[in-house]
Amino acid sequence: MLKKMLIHGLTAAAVIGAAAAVYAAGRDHADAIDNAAPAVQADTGGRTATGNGYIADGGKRSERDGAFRLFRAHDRDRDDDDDERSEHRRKHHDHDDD
Amino acid sequence: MNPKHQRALLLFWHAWIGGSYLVAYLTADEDTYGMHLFAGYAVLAAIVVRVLSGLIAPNAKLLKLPRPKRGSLQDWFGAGKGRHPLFAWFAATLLVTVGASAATGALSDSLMTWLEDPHEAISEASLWVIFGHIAFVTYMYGGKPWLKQAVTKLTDRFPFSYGKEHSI
Repeated sequence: MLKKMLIHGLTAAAVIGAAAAVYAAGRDHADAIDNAAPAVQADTGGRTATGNGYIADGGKRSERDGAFRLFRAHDRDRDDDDDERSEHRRKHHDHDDD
Repeated sequence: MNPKHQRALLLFWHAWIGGSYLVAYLTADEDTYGMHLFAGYAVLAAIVVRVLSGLIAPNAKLLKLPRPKRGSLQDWFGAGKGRHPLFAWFAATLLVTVGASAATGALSDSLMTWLEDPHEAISEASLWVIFGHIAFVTYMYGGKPWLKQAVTKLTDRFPFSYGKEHSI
């Protein structure tokens, strides 16, 4: 009788343990989805993340964004330089490309 | 209800609470908190079902709630007849301690986080009550003859034992 009860208890533990594992896996998965948007928000320096997963600016600019703007301005200057160089080439180059 | 069905229900309930408690105790670590939560609520549900069944069927032979009496212990140790009163005492103590453990766990998870430490302490205490219950039941249903045999073997093996001296 005692042996039978022990086997019943261990079987119940296995069944409940399996159910608990499934529940825990589902719970962790749900937590991972819930935490995904804030994580993206943290990575992007405070910009809000919409429900569809895309990052929305919301009209706010962070310091990091400002730094990128510097690079962008620099790129624009370089483009201008290229234009100037082409103009200079057209005017003063000895050979005709055609 | 038929006593046979009552017995089957009681055995099912015993396996349910025993299995849930085992899983809850083994998964008490933070890494397995989800499993601990599930198993803990299973223990709480088992306690609630047991108390409700005892209240709904107070006259059922097996499903009624245990009612230990202090006098019954003295009577039993005096006469030594009838069902051992420690069965009822252990059953009541287990219902209270395991129930308190599950209830404090559920409350500390949602409403009262300060119950975390009392929950841990009550759970540890309940484990020892369970060990006592297992030892007592094992002794009553299978351990008594085994223990008698073991004592006889020991007394036969050692010539200086109490039994041998008296036999001479």
